[in-house]
Amino acid sequence: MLGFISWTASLATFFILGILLFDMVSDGFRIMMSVDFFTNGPEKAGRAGGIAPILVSTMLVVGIAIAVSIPIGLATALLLSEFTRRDSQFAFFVRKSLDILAGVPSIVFGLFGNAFFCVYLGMGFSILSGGLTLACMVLPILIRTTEESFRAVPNEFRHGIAALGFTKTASVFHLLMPMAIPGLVVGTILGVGRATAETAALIFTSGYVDRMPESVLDSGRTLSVHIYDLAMNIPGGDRMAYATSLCLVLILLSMSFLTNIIAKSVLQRGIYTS
Amino acid sequence: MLKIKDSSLLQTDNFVSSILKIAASVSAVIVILILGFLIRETADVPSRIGITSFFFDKTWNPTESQFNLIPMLAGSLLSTLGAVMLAIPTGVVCAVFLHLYANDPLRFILRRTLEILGGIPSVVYGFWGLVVLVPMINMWYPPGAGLSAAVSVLTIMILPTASLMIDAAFQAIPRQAVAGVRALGLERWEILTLCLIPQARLGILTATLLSVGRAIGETMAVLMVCGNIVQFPSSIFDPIRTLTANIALELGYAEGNHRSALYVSGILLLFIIAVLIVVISIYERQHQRAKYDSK
Amino acid sequence: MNDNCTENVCVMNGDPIIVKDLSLRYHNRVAFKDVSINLSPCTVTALIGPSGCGKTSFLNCINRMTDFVDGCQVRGQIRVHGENILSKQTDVVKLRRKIGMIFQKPNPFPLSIDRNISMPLRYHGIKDAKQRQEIVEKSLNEVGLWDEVKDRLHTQATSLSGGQQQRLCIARAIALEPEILLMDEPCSALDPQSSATIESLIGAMRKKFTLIVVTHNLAQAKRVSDKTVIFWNYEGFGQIVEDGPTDQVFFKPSNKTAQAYIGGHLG
Repeated sequence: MLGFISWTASLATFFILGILLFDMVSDGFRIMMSVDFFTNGPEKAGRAGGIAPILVSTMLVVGIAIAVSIPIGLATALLLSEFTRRDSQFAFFVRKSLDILAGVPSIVFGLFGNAFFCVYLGMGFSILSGGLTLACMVLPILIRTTEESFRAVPNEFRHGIAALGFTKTASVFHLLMPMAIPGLVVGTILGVGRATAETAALIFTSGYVDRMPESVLDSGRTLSVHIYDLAMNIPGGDRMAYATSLCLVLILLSMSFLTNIIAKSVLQRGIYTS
Repeated sequence: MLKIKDSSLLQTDNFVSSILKIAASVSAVIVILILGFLIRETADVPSRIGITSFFFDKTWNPTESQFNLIPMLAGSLLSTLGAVMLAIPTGVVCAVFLHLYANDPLRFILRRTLEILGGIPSVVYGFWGLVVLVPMINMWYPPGAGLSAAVSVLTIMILPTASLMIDAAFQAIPRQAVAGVRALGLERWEILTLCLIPQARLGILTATLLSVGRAIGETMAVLMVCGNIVQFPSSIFDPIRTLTANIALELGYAEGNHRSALYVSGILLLFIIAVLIVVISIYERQHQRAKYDSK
Repeated sequence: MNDNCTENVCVMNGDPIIVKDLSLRYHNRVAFKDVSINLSPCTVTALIGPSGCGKTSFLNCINRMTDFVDGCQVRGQIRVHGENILSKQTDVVKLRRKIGMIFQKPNPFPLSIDRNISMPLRYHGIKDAKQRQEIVEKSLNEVGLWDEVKDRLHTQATSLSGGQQQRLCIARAIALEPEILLMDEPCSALDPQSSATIESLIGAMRKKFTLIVVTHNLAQAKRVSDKTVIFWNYEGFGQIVEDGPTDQVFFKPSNKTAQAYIGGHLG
């Protein structure tokens, strides 16, 4: 009985993935392969044409989010793993903040981004507002993976290099950081993936203008917002929505694939440099 | 004798440490900013709208100054409840399959599949629900879009992550514990009920609470399939609207009191999440203490 | 080992390391209490005693590695060249440059053999690559590793055997020309042959550095050390029960416990 239920549940999992991908691939693949899908802008409100400006906007939004969150994330992770004791009050405070940030629903980030970046700081609906909102959102996941990759470095190296008269700062740059790099790369890819998949936080921060953005202060529509708009607001936009979904899922899949490769190969080899 | 740099190196560490502290404060600042701006947008709500309106007005109709959030809160809670009640038992079954039935290659493939499913953006799940599930339900119980579709899509969406979390909880059980039960020659069913589930209790509970958080905060997938009519559903096929979907639908054109009311619903959501976080941390602390005591 | 060692004179200038009323506790457990002793310069001092008597904790105080342990409190004084190294003003980074340490488990960095030694040198201000190479060769020679690895200086250090790794760690420490070298059971993770190599290395280094070696192994202490200190766990915390020249400690111990321990009846 238990066996039967288990087998069914697992097959159902494959089945769901199967039909999810089948619909997307069968309807979306041909459009995605057409010449102008990646080079043209949307026409007839997205029913025809391509997604070039949307790809550019996505890259800009995600790029800003990552560029802003990486330095902050790296610094926070370094502080938590190398520069504070485990029982430090400050670290406790930061960790609690991160727990809260990780739990905030994305639409609430949207509300916040709209009120703070768009209205209060006067950035309006823009790629910059969207990117900054996403930066706040990916910070917890980035910090968690980065801190874990620093913690994965055994203490014997920390003690060994300290006994040679290195400052903590120097030991981070000369030894710990190079050893933690594979983990940092994996964390970054996870952050990029999370940012690329996000929709709700962006609708009211980066907006949904589907023209090619001329600067980061222009509004720009990301892939996921494009899918939402085509599916909900554009009758007959389904085929293009399938193609865009396929494109988005392929991007995310290749990122997770990349993460696995890095995690497997480089992580185990250590940091050999001559 | 070697020549060494003779500058006071310790000051470097103190300097770097204070820089890092400033950067690390950013996370706390963001939390404060989020709270601050949600409150700022709603500061004059008590005087202009009044707190009670959100619970006792006739309905939600901001243009007519009707601000009752309860139907949408009910929508959020019902869809979440349904999805978690379906996804957690199924997740346990999937994890059991991984542990007691699947052979190594199958287990590997299944885990990877679950990881992939967990990484698919919610807007894609929503879109898929809109074009596949809703028409399907529509054939039997029109209009199709409603509580049942929302529950189905949410279930499918949270199932992979929930299964993987429960699977991780099973994996964390000490090998000797499982081997000991196996050595008694028990059936799989007994291994499951006597060993796996009791030992992984905290893990399953955490997975449940995290799933609740994800389901209640989910916007896109629900928004695209729930029908978006503000009402208490009288059957599971009735259209509903959730708090999150409401924000996504109306923030674009909301002004004045209407906009403030949407921010109030944001605070409500945040409050629910905060309660969940507190509950999880209490459980984890209790668990750690129990572990410490038994040693 | 080879004559590179003997041509150098000890850099300690005859100042002993003065330890006065040193106590150490982890949270609420006392590791050792009120330890006072003078450790002679340019000699090999062995710290022996049963496990849990605080000898490794004592060693960790001398180069302030105790700073890395959460909840570890150190009281008292350790004076090196008259300066109390436990005071807050001490530059621990400079201190550790002068007081090297060898750990129980060999811990070469996951870098090439060459970089394991040259990276710290570069950090400590030897900018000239040629000079760094000379020091690398000299220190590898001192630990007798040069001939074994000179053809593969650029391979991973972790590919060496356990004994070779430990010698590399010693080379890495002495390349910085410390005054004092602390060794925390340097042979306990090694096979007998590698242990013997390390022991003879300790013998060769005794003229140049002040060596303080923690060991479990009484025979080893007898073989390599000039002076011996016995730690013992009394009333729940460690203290020194016997110290003096090794011959005297081993053949004419004054303390009853020490007698029993040396004689193999206790510990």
